[in-house]
Amino acid sequence: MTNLKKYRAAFAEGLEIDGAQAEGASVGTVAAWDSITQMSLIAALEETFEIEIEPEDIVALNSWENGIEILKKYGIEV
Amino acid sequence: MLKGKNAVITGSNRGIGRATVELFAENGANIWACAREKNPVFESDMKELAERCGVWVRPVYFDMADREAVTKGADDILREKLPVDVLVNNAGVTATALLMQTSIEEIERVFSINFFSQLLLTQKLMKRMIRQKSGAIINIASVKGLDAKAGCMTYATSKAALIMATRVLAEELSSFGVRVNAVAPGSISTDMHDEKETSEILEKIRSKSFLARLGEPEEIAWAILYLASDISSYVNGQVIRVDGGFF
Repeated sequence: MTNLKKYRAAFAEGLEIDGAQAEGASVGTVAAWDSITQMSLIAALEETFEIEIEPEDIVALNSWENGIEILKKYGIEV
Repeated sequence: MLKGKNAVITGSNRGIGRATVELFAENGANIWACAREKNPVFESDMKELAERCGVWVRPVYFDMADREAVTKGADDILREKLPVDVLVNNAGVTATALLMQTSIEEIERVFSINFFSQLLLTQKLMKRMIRQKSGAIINIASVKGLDAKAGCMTYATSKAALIMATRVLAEELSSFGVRVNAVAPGSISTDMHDEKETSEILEKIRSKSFLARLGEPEEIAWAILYLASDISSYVNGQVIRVDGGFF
């Protein structure tokens, strides 16, 4: 599975949205995206890519696009 | 009561932790039995218990005073890619002294073990529970974290912090089906207790107990088992005193 597919699956699982809705999703477009669902998203991303995301990045993660940028810091290219 | 569930128990080598490992195994749980140091007696004890109960019991070693070691221990558990259904944060240290007699460094040391490392381990393992959408976390606090008593500043405040963390985390994780509760034991007959207290102090404790005796580790383990099992499915964010009645 490519990193893009893994990323999409983790996003969909974490935010409990359809995979097709994951791309381009942001705090502003996903009604259910709050600090609680964010925990689920982080857990899914960490286990999928076997990384540990630092607290400041957890706070910063607010969209599909900046999630990709954050993962680059951990050596993951999506 | 825990058939097929996987549990992480810290401080597994003695006292309440050892009793909990045994009771969990007898109730069908597989266990990561965490202890500070590798020890052949502990290894063979865990092996025997696993064989007797038909479960697996895997020793995991890390020192709660060493945050890097706690992180590594949690990573070793998570690397097995198995569900983590129950976490029992039991390991801890006692401390008895008036604030005037206690250095800030000592308070930091006790908090590091009794509070920060518990949170660190929880933070790591709860992520697996969040993905599973289920889990039970049981923090072993103390009645000293509920009742003010001179000479207990360091230990009592570390346990009080753990009690509040229990309540806060219960709300934070509730939407993921993860319950967080605490058990507050009274005076229990454990090595940790007996090493620190003189016979005179122990007698004083007995005289203040409604039941006129110290509790046994197994009596705490039953409360932990209850909170770990689905029998307590509607119990969340609570602290259960198990102290035999005390005045």
